[in-house]
Amino acid sequence: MGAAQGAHGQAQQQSSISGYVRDAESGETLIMATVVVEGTTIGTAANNSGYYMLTALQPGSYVFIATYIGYQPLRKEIELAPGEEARVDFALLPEGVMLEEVVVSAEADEEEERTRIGTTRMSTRQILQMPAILEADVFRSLQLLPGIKSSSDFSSGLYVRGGGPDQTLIMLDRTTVYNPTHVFGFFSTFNPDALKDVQVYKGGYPARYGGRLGSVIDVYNKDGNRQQMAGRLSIGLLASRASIEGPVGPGSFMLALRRSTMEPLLAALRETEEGIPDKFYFYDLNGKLNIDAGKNDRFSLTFYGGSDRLGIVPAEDLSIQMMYGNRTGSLNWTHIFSNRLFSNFTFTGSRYFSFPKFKFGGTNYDQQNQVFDFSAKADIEYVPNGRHAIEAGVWAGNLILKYSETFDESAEFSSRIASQYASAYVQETWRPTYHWMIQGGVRANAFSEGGFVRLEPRFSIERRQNERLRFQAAYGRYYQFLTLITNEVFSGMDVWLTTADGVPPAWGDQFILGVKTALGKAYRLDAEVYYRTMEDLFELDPNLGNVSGSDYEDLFRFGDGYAYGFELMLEKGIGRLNGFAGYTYGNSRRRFAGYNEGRFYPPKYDRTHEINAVANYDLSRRWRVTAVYSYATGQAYTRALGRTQYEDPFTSNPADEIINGRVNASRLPAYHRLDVGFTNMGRFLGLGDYELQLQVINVYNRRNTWFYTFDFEENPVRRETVSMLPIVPNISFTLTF
Amino acid sequence: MYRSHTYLLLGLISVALVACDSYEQDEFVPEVVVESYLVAGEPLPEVRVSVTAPISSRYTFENFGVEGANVIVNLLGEEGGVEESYSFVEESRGVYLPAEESAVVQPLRRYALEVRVPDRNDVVRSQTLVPGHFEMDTVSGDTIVYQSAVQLEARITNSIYPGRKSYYLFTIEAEDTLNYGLTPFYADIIDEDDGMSKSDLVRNSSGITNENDFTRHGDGTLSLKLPWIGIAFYGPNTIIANAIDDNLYDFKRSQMGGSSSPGEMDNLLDHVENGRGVFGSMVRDQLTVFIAEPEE
Repeated sequence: MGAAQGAHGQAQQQSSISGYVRDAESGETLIMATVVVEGTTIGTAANNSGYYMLTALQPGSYVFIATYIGYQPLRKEIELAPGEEARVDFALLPEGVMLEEVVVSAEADEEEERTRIGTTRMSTRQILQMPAILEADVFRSLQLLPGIKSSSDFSSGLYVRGGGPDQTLIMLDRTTVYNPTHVFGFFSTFNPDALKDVQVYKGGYPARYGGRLGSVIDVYNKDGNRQQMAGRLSIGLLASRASIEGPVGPGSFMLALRRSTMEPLLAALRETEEGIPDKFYFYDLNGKLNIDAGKNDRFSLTFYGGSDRLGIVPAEDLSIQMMYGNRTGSLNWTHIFSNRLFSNFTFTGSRYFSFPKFKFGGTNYDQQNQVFDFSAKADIEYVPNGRHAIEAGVWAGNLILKYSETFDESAEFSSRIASQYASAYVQETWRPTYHWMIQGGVRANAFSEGGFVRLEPRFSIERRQNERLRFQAAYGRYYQFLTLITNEVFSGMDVWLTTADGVPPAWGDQFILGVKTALGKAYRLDAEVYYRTMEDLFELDPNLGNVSGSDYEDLFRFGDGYAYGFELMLEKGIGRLNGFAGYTYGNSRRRFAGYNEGRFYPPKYDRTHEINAVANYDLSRRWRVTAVYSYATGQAYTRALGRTQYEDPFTSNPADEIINGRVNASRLPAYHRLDVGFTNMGRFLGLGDYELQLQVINVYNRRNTWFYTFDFEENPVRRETVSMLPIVPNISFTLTF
Repeated sequence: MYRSHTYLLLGLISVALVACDSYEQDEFVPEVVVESYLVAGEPLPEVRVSVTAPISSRYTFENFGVEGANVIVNLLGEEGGVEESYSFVEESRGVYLPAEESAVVQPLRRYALEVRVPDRNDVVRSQTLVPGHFEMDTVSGDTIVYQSAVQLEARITNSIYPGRKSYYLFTIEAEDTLNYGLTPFYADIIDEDDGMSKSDLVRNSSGITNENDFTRHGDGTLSLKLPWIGIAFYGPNTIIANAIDDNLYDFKRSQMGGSSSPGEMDNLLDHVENGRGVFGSMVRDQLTVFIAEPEE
């Protein structure tokens, strides 16, 4: 241990240690696992490949401890010779699996990366345990975290720290996903069975990411079990899932399929109800193949394919056909040059498509909407010593947006935007002492459509007061070259548009202050305050008339905005009773020229106060109960103050007009809901372990208001309330073998 | 240590709360509403003057029409000066007619509306520039079989609107709803129980089109196939092509567009000073076609 005391002392004869941190049962790498030298302040976090590097260690005997949330810490005694570059992998056992000789006393996990400012993570286990509206869902689970909001019960869209859904970069295995939804936005596109890790950067995200004003959701698929074949079957009310994984050659594979299973229900409904779709299903398929080509090289090929299809004939001479979805793929090569230099090279491909077709009264309306994004990226991490870590990378690609509308067999609008983009970043993390961590970086972006080049400085500083208390601050500038045309209740026709001449990129600054504490062994209490600006926002003009022949910049309206807030999160990660509770105070404002008399207004999803609490309690070895409670200030809406009527010369009837007050200056009634789930676990006919989930969403049947409509057939006009979800039961059965 | 935590958290909360701004809901204030549609080549139309009603009020135009208003429409010269002034007289509550019936709306001329309402100091004003004249003909014949290979096609000479391309709205008006029935789509969606009746479908309107949507011919004329969805009734139908001014363009496009959030409609775009409404103008031409029911 004497060597450890002066681990970062002299340059000569220094040793280093590096390796992967894995799940002992499956061989899955554990992203952001922590490796520390016992009894010292020396430690590091594994990167997104699960690889850690500890350098500039004095030769001698060390005890290294690897930890990861949900896993038993693992300690290893290593003797480092002078100049040795030791390769030591850690294989951690999940909690609940006992193996006495490697078990050390469990303490609250001190995950280095998770405690970074603006960052949070959610385990797939947590996602699968939560009561779910028909189907376990990644984004709906993320909506429970402080600072992340939903627009309604019907949307899985993420509204992070006052930003809209397009301000969040969503990546699957390093590949951008452009429409991460199923069922037209009701669910997110990610199959939780296929996922290994979900990282959330709510704000102040580091220089290795870019392209969005607000936040990043970085999702990684499982590599597949390297030890043995394993599978999982799950049957639910909405969809069923099947996955298989196992070793293959010098590597592993994973295949996960999910498909909706509503056809019998729809067929039964069609017997008695009108307007039930003739066809409605969605599916997704995730796959990954890993090849370990020696100890320093790994290749992985990953793909995703998912689609939603709807066919409905609601009336005579009226038909609607919808098809939308995503395809993504990536080829990744991880190469370890040395114990100090780690690299990753990726080729990505992403396609989003949407092909709605309407036929009404003998008239056809078709949309052809596609996004193609092919890119290459390279990232390196260099750790010269224990005080410095340097990350750098480049990312370049070709983005093609194709959109056309055909009305009555005539081309109404056609657009093809092909833009090349490139970015490069460098970031240094400097730890001058145990107490201080300073990270500075810069990212340069170039976007050919409009010819924009922009620089984004990023900076963060952390004062680690002691093992249990950290103070943090961060600043970053962010640019966004894309905007999304979407509808909060229907994502199947989402359209992306880019900057161009006359349409400059949106940009914003983010300022964050945070404090992270560990309260005892089990509890963590984190608080953050943020302020962010949004400049040069561009979005489709909602009052666009006929756009044929219009200049591109005339499609948009331009504005600005800001958001600020405070987030508090109390988490208990271990014990029979575990979970988290979060509180968010948030304010977001927008302003667009010529709209709302030029005043700032809150977007609809602005919620001043929001409380979410998730609790899991293990009643016994076979029973677990989970409860989720949510409370939020009612969403902003525009109150109708008056009315009038016009003798419209173009229609048979007079046209009614509602006279609105200030935009979104009123609030709907407060939102609250309690969901409860019971899980029964055990062995199923000797085939494997089962989980039977019985869940009730909205236990006390709170009819939360979604929006108001007005019935002008009544005089005085009658305001009607459209409610969100009533009480919904859910049942699912999962078999793991 | 825990005390310092508490202070820090309180400090962070304070920063957030102090930064809070206020954005209050405004209250209903009655506004003057004006409405008039000038048609080139036709006499000056009526001007309707009313006030907005509280949303919870029972509304009829008669109840909220404004009596005793002073309504004037001025024909402006090229420099903006008043060339002719036309006064209006109250025909019924809130409805004002030109005092002289001989005045005819002229294309490519600018008209200004001035309305003075009792007990209000502000003059309600609006202006419109009347689109240029055009003519329409059909190239698909006088009789067309519904949803046959031959689609109703209109050919027009292009209207002119200074400073921008021309915008059109097509109106299709059924002439004989007693002897001819609804086309299948409308027959199926009509729901008498839901308050929708055949009379609601007598006059249908297209969306806004502009000259770029038309096929342009060598002689400068434009042609456009009218979609079948516009035909609600078999039998004789009058097709009216309307070239519209900026006021009607903004009024109609905001009526058709607006917020993408469910249940929300933005206020209509208007060009009325000290009030709201529409003082629009158009030029139009029409033709009649017979829509024959296809044989089984």
